Amino acid sequence: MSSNFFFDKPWSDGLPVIPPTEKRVVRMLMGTSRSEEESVGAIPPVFEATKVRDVAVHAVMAGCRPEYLPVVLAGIEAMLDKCFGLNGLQGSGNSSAPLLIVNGFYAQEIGLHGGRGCFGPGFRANATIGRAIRLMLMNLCGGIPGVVSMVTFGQPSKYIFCVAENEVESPWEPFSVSRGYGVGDNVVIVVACENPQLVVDNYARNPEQLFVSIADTMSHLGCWNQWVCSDLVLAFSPQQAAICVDLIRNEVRHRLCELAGRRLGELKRAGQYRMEWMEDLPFEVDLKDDNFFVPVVKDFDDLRINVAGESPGPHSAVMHGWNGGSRAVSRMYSV
Amino acid sequence: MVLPDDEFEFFFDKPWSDGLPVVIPTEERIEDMLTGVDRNPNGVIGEVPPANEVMTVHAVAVHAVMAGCRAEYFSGLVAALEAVLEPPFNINGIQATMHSCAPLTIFNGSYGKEIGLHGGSGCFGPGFRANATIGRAIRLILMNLGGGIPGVTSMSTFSQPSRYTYCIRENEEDSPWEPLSVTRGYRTEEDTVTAVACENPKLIFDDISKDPETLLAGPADAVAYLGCMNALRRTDLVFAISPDHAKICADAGWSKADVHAYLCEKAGKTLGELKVGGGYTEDRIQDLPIKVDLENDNFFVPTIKDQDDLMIIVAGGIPGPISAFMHGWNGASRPVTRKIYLQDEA
Repeated sequence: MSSNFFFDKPWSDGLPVIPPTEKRVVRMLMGTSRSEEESVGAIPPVFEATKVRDVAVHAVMAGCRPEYLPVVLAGIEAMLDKCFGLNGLQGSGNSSAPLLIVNGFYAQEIGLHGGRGCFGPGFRANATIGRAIRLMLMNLCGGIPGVVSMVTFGQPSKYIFCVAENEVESPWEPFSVSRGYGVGDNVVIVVACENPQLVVDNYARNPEQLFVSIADTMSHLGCWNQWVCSDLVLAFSPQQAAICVDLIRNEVRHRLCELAGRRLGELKRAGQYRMEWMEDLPFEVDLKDDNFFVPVVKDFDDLRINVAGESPGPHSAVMHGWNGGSRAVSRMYSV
Repeated sequence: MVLPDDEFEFFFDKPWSDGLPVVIPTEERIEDMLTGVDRNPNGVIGEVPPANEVMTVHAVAVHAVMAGCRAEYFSGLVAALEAVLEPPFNINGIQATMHSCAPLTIFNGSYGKEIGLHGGSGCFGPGFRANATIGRAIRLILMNLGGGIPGVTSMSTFSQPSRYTYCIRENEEDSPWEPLSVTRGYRTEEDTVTAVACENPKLIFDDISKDPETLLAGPADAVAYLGCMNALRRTDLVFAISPDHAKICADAGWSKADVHAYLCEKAGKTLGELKVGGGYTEDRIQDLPIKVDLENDNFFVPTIKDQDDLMIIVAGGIPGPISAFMHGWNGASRPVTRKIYLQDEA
């Protein structure tokens, strides 16, 4: 089968795939004890019924090794949770993409990378698990630009958006543990968000100094979080997390929730300001007081902090959420 | 799990693999790729830092095959690589930095359109072979011939998704203004590629504004946050404005230069705001090409330090109430534009 066969499909991501021969699909299915006929669910907006075997076929095409299959299955199943709002996300004009953050022993075992360069190329597990998800969203669900996806720009993380947490270099408990799972539990969290946006800071020596630039970057007037309840992911490099070592993760979250935000008068300057949105927020905003401080994180639970990258590296990364139509979902998976 | 022999596994095992499957570069496929450009396969294009492996036309063809390019993309790919290797672009520094920036390549002219390079709906994302594979071929070359491998010579803390592939065409058909190539001194009929080192696109959504001043207030604010390199340094900035947003400006009589001037004037922070951010040092401010009164905390420091640093393109599809900013690196790289020479003119 020539490689052009797959390039010519309307759902191609534009990159070469491995032809999913029967032999390769059978080998891929060895990565799970689940039956190939078992249903995974129906993926919106096309609602094609999806079986474990379909997931395996896309995992082969994306370039996955068989041992990645449990993570791919967990990722797509988490996205089918109603709270995630995949239907809206697929059709949206915004460019948010599902980010997978994977915690637990298994991620380390299969080489899912959370260290240096983890958001970029060079790591097969990250690249191919992320890509398998995208190929399914395009092929099984019709999320094709200009067909059902009305996305204006798209974004590079729509190709691939999958990282592990750097649990080894983190001063805090794993992100999954902060969400109530046990240490070592294999957990995947999916969250619809924008590309990582860097916060560069090689001078801050204490958390209060460090938080100024992060809070400012979180709260610019272009992001959706300004107007609605939505997720916001913050990746600390180990070097920046070490500056905060005297604080527990929740203290960091609380402080950033306090600091990041804008005065109502500033919000009103932006073209996107709508009074109804302020009225819909889960807290009362005094619409007559232009000095009223409106936090960018509307609910403490919306801010999700993980540790990624590697030392040295004086960076954090802000990933803003979508329009509030999707909420992050976490899911424990078995191997 | 030990995998049985599979031709694809051979390439996955290479240290320079981007982690995705490649098209196997057989002699036949390489020969076919070389028909895309009228140049001697042994011709040297340059050396790719920091490893400084020699990049011949043949070596580019091998990587183009692996990335999944069609032969007709080859002239554009060669021109893009020539731009990336020009000294002002400083690819050596970009390869090594702890920052995440990637070379974004922007194509102008009819060639890009003919080969299917996409500048419309979803152009920064998956689904378009020319965008995906030209961008990927550049990355594979930076990794394999340049040695830009994470943890080896690339010290990027996070890296970024646009390091997989980062290649678009300007949406000239839906633009009310002259193309980027013309702004940069080329003629309309010339095919060009512009390389610029920048971050991922950062979105600014606005489906309400009806006039340019209200519309651009959001972007002017969004571009100025304290985390970006542009806040405290002179460096590049790319503004991708959607056709819908560009139309709002053009209908009100604004030229591209007017939008440019507005953003240069309005985007910024007061010195007092910059001082409390962790990245602030006095010498960084003194190094700027503008004179800043260090005693006056109300002094307005523009995000765009020199008007030449801002590049505006029209991109994305209709409808699309979104524009996007791509912040620059640390100021050590400058954008480079190259003309694309096609076979019939060579």
